Amino acid sequence: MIAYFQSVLITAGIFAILVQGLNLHRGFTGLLNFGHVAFFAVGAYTMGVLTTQFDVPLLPSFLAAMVAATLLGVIVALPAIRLRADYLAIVTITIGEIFRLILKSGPVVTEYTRGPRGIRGYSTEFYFFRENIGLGFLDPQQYLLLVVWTTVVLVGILLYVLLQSPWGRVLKGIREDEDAVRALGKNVTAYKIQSFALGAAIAGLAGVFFAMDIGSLAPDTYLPIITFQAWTIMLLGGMGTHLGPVVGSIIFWSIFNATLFIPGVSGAEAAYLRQIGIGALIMLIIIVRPQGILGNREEMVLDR
Amino acid sequence: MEEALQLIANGVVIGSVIAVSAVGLSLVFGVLKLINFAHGDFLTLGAFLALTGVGLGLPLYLAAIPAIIGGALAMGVLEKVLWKPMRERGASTVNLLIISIGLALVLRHVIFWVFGERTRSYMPPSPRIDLGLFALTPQDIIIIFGSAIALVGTGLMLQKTRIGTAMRALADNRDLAEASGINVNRVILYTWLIAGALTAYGGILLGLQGRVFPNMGWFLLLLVFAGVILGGIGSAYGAMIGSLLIGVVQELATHSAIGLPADLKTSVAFLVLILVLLIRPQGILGRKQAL
Amino acid sequence: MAERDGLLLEARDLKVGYVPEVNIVNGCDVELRRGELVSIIGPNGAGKSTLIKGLFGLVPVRGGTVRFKGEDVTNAPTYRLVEMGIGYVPQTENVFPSLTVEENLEMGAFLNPKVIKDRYEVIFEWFPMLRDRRGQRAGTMSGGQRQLVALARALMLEPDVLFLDEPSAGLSPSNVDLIFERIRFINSEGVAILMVEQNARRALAMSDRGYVLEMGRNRFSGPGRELLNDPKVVDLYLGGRASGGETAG
Repeated sequence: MIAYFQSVLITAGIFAILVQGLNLHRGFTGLLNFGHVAFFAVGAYTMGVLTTQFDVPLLPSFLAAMVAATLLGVIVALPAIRLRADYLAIVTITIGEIFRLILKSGPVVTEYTRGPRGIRGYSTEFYFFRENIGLGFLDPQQYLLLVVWTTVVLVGILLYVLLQSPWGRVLKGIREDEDAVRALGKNVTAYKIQSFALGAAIAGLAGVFFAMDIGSLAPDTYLPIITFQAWTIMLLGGMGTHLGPVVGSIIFWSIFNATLFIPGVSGAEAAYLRQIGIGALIMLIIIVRPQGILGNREEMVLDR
Repeated sequence: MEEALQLIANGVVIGSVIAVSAVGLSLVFGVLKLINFAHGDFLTLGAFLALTGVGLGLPLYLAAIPAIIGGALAMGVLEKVLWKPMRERGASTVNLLIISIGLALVLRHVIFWVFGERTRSYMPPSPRIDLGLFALTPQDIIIIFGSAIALVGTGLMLQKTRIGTAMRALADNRDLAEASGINVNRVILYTWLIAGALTAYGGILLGLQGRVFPNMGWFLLLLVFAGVILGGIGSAYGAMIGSLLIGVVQELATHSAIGLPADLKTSVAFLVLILVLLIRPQGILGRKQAL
Repeated sequence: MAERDGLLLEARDLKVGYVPEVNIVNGCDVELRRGELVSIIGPNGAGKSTLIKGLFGLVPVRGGTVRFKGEDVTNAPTYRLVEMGIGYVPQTENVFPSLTVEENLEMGAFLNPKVIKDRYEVIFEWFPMLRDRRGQRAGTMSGGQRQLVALARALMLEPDVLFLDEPSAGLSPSNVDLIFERIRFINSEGVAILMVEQNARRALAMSDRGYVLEMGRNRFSGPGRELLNDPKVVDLYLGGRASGGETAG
C-alpha cells in the first residue's frame, strides 16, 4: 500500500514539473501551448537514445535531454511569435503529433528510436547512481520519489526567483498587454522565445523522470492526452500561480487513481470513465472557477 | 504517372470527407470565432449514430437521416446549455476553446464507453472499379458525389437564403448584426444546427471511406484544421479547396518516387498547415472577417 | 401606458455603464417627439455615444427608465427595439463589408422580410446612388458611400426613430454636406432623429432641439437655435464665437 502511494506521488511530482513548464508558457506568459507533450517526449527520448545507443553517462544525457527540449521549444516558438492565440493552439498540438509520428515511423529516426517497439534498459545507471551519493539505503522507488520532489522544489524556487526579477515582470506584462510591453521598447519576440525555451527544458526534464518511472519508451505513450492532463492540472491548481502545478497535480492524480478502486467497473470502462472525468473537469473548472483553486480572479479578468 | 493519378484520386476521396467536415468547422468559427476542438468527435458521433441504424437493419442511406438529425440536435442542445450561457457570461474565446477540448474528451470517451473500442464498418469492402485513369470503389464514388452535394448545398444556403446571409453578416460584424435587429442568438443556433448536420454527414462519409471506430473523428480533426487554415479560416469556400488540397498532398506524399512511409503522410499535411500559417496566415482565399 | 403628446422616447435619470459602479452616463434625461430632430452634443468623453447605446440596449442601463411609445423598454433586447421602430447607425464599422449593398439592406429588414421588396423602391429613391451599386460589396465602397448604406440599412423597417452616432465622423467635407442633407431629408419624411455629433454647430443649426452633455449629465437643453446663441454654450462648447459657423465642436 505504501508502495502504491509512493508511485502515485512520483507521478504527481513528475507532472508537477511538467506543468511548471506549461505554467511558465501559459500562466505567466499567456502562450497557448497545446503541444507540451512533445517537450516531454523529446527529453525522454534524447536521454533514452543517448544512454542505450551511445553509452553517454547519466548526467550528460540528462543535460542533453534538456538542451534538446530547449531547442524544440525555440523551434515551436518561431510560429508562436506571429500567431494569434487560437492558431497557436492548433500549431502546437500539430507539432506534438508530427513529433510523435516521426518518433514512430520517421525514416532514419526509427533506427535510433526503434519505432513502435520502443527503447528499454536506459535506467540502470540512474538507479545505480544513488549508491554514489550515499542514498544506497533507499529502494529505487523511494530514491526516484526523492529526486523528483527535490526537482519540483528546485524548479519552483528557480521560477519564483525568475518571475520576481525584471525578466519575469516583462513576461507577465506580455501576458496582460503585449502591445503595451512592446511600446516600452521591449523585444516581445525574444521574451516569448525565452519563455518557450525554458518551459520546454523543464518539461524535458520531467520527461526524463517519466521515462525512469515507466522503464520503457514507446511513441504512443506521448499522445495529446498528456498535454490535456497537464492543462487540467494547471487549470485545477490555478494558472499563473507558483504552487498551482503542485497542488493541481496532487489532487488530479489522487482523483485519477481513486477511480481504480470503483467496484464493479472493468479496467477498460474505468479508463474511459477517467478520460470522461478529465474532460468534465476541464469544462467544470472553466465554467465554475476559471482561475483554479489558488488563482486570483483579478488576473484572469485580463485574459483575452 | 499511373500511380500518381491513383493517389490523386484517393486524395480527392479523403479530401471530400475533410471538406464536408471543414465547412462545418469553418461556419462555427466564422460566426462564433470559436475553434471547436470537439468537432472531430461530432464526426464520430454521426458515424456511430448511423452505425446504430444500420445495426437495426436500416440501409445506410436511411440510417443517415436520423444520424444527421441527431448530430444537428446534439450541437443545438450544446448551444443552449453550454455555449450560449458561456457567451452571456462573457467567456473569452480562449476559455471557450479550452471548454471545447474538455467536451471533446467527454464525447469521445462516452462513445468508447457505449460502443467499445472495436472497429466496425457499414458494409463489407467492395472491389475497386477500373475507371480508366484510376480505380475507385463504389463507396469512394458515393463519397465524392455526396460531399459535392453537401458543399454546393451549403454554398447555396450561405448565398441565397436569409439565414445564410445573416450568418455571413454575423461573421463580418456581430455587434452590427445585433444593432441591425438580427436575432443573433437565433442565427447562432441555426449555425450550430447546420454545422451539426454537416458534421454528422461528414462522419458518415468518413465511416464509408474507411472504418467506424471511436477515435476516427479525433484522428481526422487535425487534417480538418489543416484544410480550414489552408483555405483561409472562416472562409467556407476556402475550406472546401484547402481540404481537397490537403487530401491530395498527403496521398501524393506516399508516391514511390518520394518513398515516405504511409504512417507519415498525415505529418506532411500537418507540415503544410504549419508552413501556411507561417507564410500566409490568412490562407489561400482568406480575407479578414469573411465566411 | 400609451404614448402621449407624440412623445416617442422618454428617458429619465438614465445611468449607463459598461461595468457596474462605473457609470459613464450618470443621470441624463432625454425626450424625443414624433418627427423631431434632436442633437446631443458635448465635449469628448461626455458620454454621448454611451447614452445612445444605453437607449438602444447595447450598453447596460444601471439606473433610470427608458420608455418608447409609452412602453418601458429599459434594457430591452436590441432586436425588440428594432421591432418597435428604432433604427441605429453606429459611428464606425456600420456596414457588413463582405455583403453586397442589397444584402446589407436585407439584413436591416431581418425581422420582417416581407417588406424588403417594397422598401427597396423607397430606399433606392431616397439614395439613388445605391440602386446602381446594389450588387457591390460594401467593403469596397468609400466612407461616404458606406455611410449611406448604413443609413439605408437602418431605414429598412420604416422606423419611427433613427439613432445616429456621429454620422459625420471621418468623412470628407463634401460627404459631410451630403450626409447632413440626407439626414434632413429623412427627417422631413417624418422619421424622428436623435443624433450624437461632434460637429456641434452644424448639428444644432439643423436641429429642433439639442442637449449639451457634460460628465455624463445634462448641462443645457433647449431649441437648437437658442443653444447656438446662448453665450454660455458658445463659450464652453462652441469655441467662443457667437455666430453659426462651420467649426467642428
